[in-house]
Amino acid sequence: MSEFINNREKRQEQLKGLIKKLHDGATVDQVKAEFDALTTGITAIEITEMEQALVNEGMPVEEIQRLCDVHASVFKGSIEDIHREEGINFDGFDEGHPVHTFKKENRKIESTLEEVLNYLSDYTENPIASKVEKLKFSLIKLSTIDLHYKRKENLLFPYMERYDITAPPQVMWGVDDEIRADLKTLIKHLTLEKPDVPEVNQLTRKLVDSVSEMIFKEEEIMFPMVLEKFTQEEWQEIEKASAEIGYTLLPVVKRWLPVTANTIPDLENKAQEVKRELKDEHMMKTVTENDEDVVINRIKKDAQTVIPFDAGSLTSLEVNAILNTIPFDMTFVDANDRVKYFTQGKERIFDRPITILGREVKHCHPPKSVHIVEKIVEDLKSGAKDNEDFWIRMGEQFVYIRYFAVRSKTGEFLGTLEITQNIKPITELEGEKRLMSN
Amino acid sequence: MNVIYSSVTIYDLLTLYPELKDALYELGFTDIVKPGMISTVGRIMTLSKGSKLKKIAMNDIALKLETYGFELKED
Repeated sequence: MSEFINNREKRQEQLKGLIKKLHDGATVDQVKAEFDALTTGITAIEITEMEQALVNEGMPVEEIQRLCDVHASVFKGSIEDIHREEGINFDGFDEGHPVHTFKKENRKIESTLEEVLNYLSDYTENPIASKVEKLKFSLIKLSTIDLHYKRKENLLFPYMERYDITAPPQVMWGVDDEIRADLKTLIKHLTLEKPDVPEVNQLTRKLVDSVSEMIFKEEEIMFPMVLEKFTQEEWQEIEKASAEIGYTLLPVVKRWLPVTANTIPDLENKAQEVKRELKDEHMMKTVTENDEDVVINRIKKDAQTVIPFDAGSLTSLEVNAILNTIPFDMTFVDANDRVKYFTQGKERIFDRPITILGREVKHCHPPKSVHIVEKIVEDLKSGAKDNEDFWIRMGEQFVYIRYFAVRSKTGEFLGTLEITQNIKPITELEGEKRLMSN
Repeated sequence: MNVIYSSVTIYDLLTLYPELKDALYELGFTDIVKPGMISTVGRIMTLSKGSKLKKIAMNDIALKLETYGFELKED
């Protein structure tokens, strides 16, 4: 087994040498023969893995892409052909389409799972520290699957819910969380002085099975389901909001530049149809209000609208800026339990993708905490409570989470306001500060 | 005996023969008792897909269906 890995490392070094030659001005033709010799007998997946390893080492992607050109010319095919060989089934999606990206990630996840199983058997044969490290490393790599799941949960699920597909997201989210928890447990176990080898085996195999099963569920059930329902416009909204969350094991994700719905009458009509079908008027308003940038709410038209308050008035431009400046995160859920607004300060403690706007608050939480959320909202709505607070330690931060009932002057319930703040700096304050800092 | 093809969707199957719900649950299709799953996932899940996913042998499915008076045909 070890000589296999050594050969791989040797090949990697040779690949690096090739890239350097290309960088220094060698032409594709000049290195073709060397590349061919280097890659005879290894699979396209291995080539990709080598390229990935180089990226992980910090080699800029543009350099790696030079290799793709050589690779393509050696294979006498296009980059797409290479990728098709690697098992990435395009199914007619443009690169950059969210489903295309999800599937690409799944292929990477699958090869990481293979890696995990390989390191697991290495470790089982010889449970020394270096083998533990290798296994741990590939599991840590695997835990970036969190981003793939996050995009599923925060981008795909809200749209599914708008189409009344509410049960599958809840079920799937629960399983995603189980996988996350199992990964954490396993990695933690491997940091023990003496990990239990049979235990490690059992946990690892169970994890690999769960992740493979999830890939199957996504590709055989969820993607067909959503591809049937979502409009081109919705896919574009999803794609736009994706980079903010991040990707799993993909060094480069190209932006999607499809022919837009506006230029294809049929698609535009279908988009209008769906908008009409959406039952909730509130959601329809959110979708139709901003034509250019549906997802990103910009206050272009209303910048100078003046809003009166109890004491004074402000333009909407000022209100937005003020709310984004205050030193805590606010999220407002309206009287119909839908997320209506949240502040966009410099750094949010908890993620708030734009796509959750209009979503029922209970669907914004993992299944485990749904009942707590519902109880809070119920108590605030009924008047049983006006406020409920929580505080938790999250890494370096001490997060204070407060819920307030928002009521009009006449007592009408308008919604729930959630305010989160890192109060660690506040709890550390001592004495006084009366003078300005430099 | 009524024939059921392995490519039938769970949704269609249970619409035609609702009495099979227990049978499917016993076989391991445990998600069908979760509200909202049959009308969504059920429209895409088939007996053959479910066999692969939940690791239930097609033979076991065939035997179970037989006890309910159905013949399973793979397609």
